Amino acid sequence: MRVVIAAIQTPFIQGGAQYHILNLEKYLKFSGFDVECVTLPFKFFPEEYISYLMDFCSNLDFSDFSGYKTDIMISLQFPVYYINHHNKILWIMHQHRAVYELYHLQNKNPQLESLKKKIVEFDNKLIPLAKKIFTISRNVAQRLKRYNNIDATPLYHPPPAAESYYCKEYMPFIFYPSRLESLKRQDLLIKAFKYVRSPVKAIIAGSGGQEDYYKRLICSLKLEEKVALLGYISLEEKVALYAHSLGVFFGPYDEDYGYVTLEAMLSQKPVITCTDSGGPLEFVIDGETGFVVPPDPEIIAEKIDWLYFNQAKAINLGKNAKERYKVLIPSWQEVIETLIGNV
Amino acid sequence: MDINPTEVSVEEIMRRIREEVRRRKKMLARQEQMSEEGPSFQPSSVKLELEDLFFSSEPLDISQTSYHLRDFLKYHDREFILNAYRGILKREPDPEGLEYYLRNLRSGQMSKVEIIGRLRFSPEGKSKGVKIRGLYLPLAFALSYKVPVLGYFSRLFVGIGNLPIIIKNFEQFEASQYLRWQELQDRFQRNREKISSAFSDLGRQIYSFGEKINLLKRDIEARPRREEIEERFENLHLRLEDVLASITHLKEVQNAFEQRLSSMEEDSREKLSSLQEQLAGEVQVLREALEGRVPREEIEQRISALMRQIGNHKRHIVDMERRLLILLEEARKRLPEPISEAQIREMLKEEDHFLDALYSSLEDRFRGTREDIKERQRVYLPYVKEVLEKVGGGLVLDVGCGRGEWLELLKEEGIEALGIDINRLMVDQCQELGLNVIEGDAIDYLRGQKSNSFAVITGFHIVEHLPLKKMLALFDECLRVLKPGGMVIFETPNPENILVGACYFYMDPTHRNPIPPETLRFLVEERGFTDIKIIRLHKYSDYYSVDTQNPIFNQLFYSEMDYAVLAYSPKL
Repeated sequence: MRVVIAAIQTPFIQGGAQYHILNLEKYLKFSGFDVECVTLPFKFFPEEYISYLMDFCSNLDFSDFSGYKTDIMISLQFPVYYINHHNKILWIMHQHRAVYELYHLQNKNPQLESLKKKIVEFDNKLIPLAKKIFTISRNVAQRLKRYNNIDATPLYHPPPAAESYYCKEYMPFIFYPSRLESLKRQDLLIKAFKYVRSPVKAIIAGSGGQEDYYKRLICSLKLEEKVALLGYISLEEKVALYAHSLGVFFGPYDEDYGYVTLEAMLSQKPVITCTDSGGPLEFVIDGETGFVVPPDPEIIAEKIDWLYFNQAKAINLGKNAKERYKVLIPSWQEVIETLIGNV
Repeated sequence: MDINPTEVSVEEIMRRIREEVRRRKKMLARQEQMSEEGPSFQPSSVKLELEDLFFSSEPLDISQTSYHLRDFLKYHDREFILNAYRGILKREPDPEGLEYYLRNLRSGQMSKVEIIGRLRFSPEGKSKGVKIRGLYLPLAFALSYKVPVLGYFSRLFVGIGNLPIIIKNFEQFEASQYLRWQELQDRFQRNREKISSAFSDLGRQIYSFGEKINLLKRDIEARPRREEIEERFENLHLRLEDVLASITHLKEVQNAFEQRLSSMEEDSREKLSSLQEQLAGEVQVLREALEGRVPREEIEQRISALMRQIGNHKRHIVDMERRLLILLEEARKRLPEPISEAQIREMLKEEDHFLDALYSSLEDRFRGTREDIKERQRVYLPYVKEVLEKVGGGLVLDVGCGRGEWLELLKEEGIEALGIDINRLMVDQCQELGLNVIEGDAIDYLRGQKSNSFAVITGFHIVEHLPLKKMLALFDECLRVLKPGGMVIFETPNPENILVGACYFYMDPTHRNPIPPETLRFLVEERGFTDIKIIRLHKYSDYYSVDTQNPIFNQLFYSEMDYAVLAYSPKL
């Protein structure tokens, strides 16, 4: 059976999405499907390009390539989920966020205004044409319901290299690996260390646009001894840092899904997240597998100290997190059965 | 798990993390290597509880020779029969016996007591003679049951009498069976759980196995087909042969190189020692000079003065030669009386010598240094020595000995030699060196010698100066005066080398014609010499650096510049 995956790529930008699609492709192949991934180049501006790409996609049909018929098309991303196919399965990572849940954060202009109108119209009309509609999280499904009144089923999946994670005796530091972007809010963790009383450190890994700002922030708060920005680290280092951390902070703004939560859970570590963090809220149970707190540095600091001063309980939170992962996250085999089954 | 209460710096944390990453990478690499050797399939080790519950009671002590009936009766079914055999007959039951008694016991045909009795009173049982207390009465009853009519009453009688015991036994039996049943049920439950978890393990493994098979399948598809492999193999084989050939060649080159290296080493060692000697001599001279306190400038001045004087003398001599010639001419014209024959001969003789100085200079200019010549002539020593040995010693005559390099070499080797040359200056030079040389015409001289006078006659760069008649006369005289088995050596320029034939040969204006090697061979052979050898010598490229890429060009231009003919007088 031929499965075509329609995807987008933003050249040179690596993120969770790439791994997600690579793994989908890999496990479809393991399950015996004939798989090909077709990608279109995407960029966030100018708006005209996005608009052009939407028209282009909505006029494409992937059912047939020069006589090679494809049985199923799976698409996860805007705007390639507008591409037509007689057996279209959507597993939506997110819609075009700038015109939905992040719209209030944008600089408004007429182009964006008209793009928003067009996207809502396309989403409303074209998404329901799919045979099945999944989202990668409940959060994404709820947005689809709220903004477009479309019902979708959340379908979780394991993070990349899920089998690599392990747990070791911890050292006194809080770990936060993520791209250094404002939506990831590493500054919440940095600011929290003004209030941390225990000898715990913060280790922040990753690179990105906010690197300079975070560096300056650490300097101005005189936290050089407390907070370290590691920059890019290898997978092995990341896994080892998870394994030895006291706990993980993951407090982004309205995350779609968030591999960090799952990676922490696989490493048996409690996660401190925020009430407005989106995806992580589906996994973290306050006081059981970690903490859900308002995005307030002082309260975050309180929880960090609590983890340090309540070792045994902190370890238990981690154990609970691992158990919860087992309950919530299906294996890739199960994911593929759910995606493709009965089509 | 403990937390270090003192502060740990981020650097320390990262140091430990990196250490761990290194360790784990090594470990994972090892695992990878192992998994590459084939998909690892680890069967789950499921330990099920399978021990037989029915055989769990204490085993019978079979070492005893005396039992009570009770000892046997506490066992049931198969275990009863096993223990009865073991206790009474001291052996394991044979299959037929076991089967027979088990059938009878289970069907009620025989009671336990009767089976014990049968075993005990069988011939085998009697021979073992095991004592069983409390057997006889029950056995009698048991056997009596089998008697018609009486059996019924006897059974009833015993049965009623034993009823309380039977009831007690039955209750005990029931209780113990219930316990066993309970335990079996628990076991069943536990085993079921183990099996089901093993199955789900197996499922996971099969899935990952499937993944690996898919990978392998793709791998195999990606592999080249057999013909392709064979072709590649063929290519590889050919290349291997090439490589082997190259290796052989390289070995040869290496050997040659090593030989050259060792000869060079020897060479340079010799040169070094001779250089050392030379240096020591020079140092000695210098020291003496210093002791004589003659300042260097003065010596140089004296030398250059001497050089000037020599030049002057030379010019003077040449001038005198010219004048003498004119004078002689004049004298011949003016003499009133005819000149006597002896006078003419004397004068002609003088005339012959008027080129001596010129030839001497020519030789100095073009023939090469004394040491070079000696070095080159060393090649003939083995031949000369061989002949001397064969003919029992004798004199070596060098015809046209020139500056006497060859004579000097022979003297150094302890070989007795005589030189003859027509050039008076050269003869003087040789005599100054203490060499045994006479002035005169070689052919005339030879004509005056007896046969068997010489062992070896040599002539270096002589024959090319002679007209054919003289050359043949020389050969004839040589053959005559040589001992049987004696040898002649005539070295001459080799016109096979175009440079020699076209140019170098004529550097000496007294040369007549270049003689090709085969011509010279023909001539000496024709005059009666035997065993003729041609040795080509003095390769151009041995003395001058040349490009050795083009063989034909090299043959024509850079081959041997001289050759020698070696010929022997026939043995008697």
